[in-house]
Amino acid sequence: MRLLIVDDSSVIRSRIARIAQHPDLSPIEVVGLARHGEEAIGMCSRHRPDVVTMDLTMPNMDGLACIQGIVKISGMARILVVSALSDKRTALKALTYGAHGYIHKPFTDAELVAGLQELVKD
Amino acid sequence: MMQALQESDLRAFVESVSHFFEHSSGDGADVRSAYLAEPDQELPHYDYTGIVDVSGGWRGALYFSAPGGLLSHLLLIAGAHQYGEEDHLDLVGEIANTFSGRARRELGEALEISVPRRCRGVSIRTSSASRPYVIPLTWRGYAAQVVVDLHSER
Repeated sequence: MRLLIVDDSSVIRSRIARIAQHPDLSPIEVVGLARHGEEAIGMCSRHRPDVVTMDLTMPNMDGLACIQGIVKISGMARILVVSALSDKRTALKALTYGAHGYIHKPFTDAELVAGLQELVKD
Repeated sequence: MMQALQESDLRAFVESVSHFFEHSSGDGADVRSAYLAEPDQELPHYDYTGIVDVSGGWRGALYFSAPGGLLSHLLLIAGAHQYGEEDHLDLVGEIANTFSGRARRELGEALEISVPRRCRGVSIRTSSASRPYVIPLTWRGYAAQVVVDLHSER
């Protein structure tokens, strides 16, 4: 499974990359670490990830716009939003735009593992 | 008409702070009673400060200021075994963002939040528009504080 991690925080990007190697998950290759939506769109075109973890509050292009862009260029990618934005309307918007799952920050290792498992189980 | 943040609104931020430490580390922070600071005043700060600017139905900013030791401790819990100044700055901004984002659970989309700014050793000067709330906290022996400097145009 090919994973693209999108988050403006380097601490969060590193943490997600580490958790992605959890033994309960199928083998994951991290194909890109993007700091914002624009960078993510470019990486998505080049690397064609199967799964994307997506922050929402980012510079240049935010996560909601990025989700719409990724759906256009790589409709098969499954997107897991990992965001601090905890209101229901934002979560609903993200899912409507094409995200497949949503977990809130702060998250535990177990929550992210479960979120990734849920995303790829079909 | 400008309205100051009410105590009921403040609860959303206090809950965010408590939830963050409990959920990140399994150890709740000792969140002490918030107090009102004076407007246009310099507040005490710690080594690093994350700032989230707020727009929409609310105006102002949220600050989270913490010592390097607290941030190092959280980085270790998050599995980072090598870290430096950039990681402290990154994390302090991320925490300010997380506090603000979770407060939207109660305050809704009207709390539009910016990408965080991150500073080292910069003093917090409150706006002249309203009296901000200061929320002091202690986590694993480290003191830190959140400043909620918001007003609404309701």
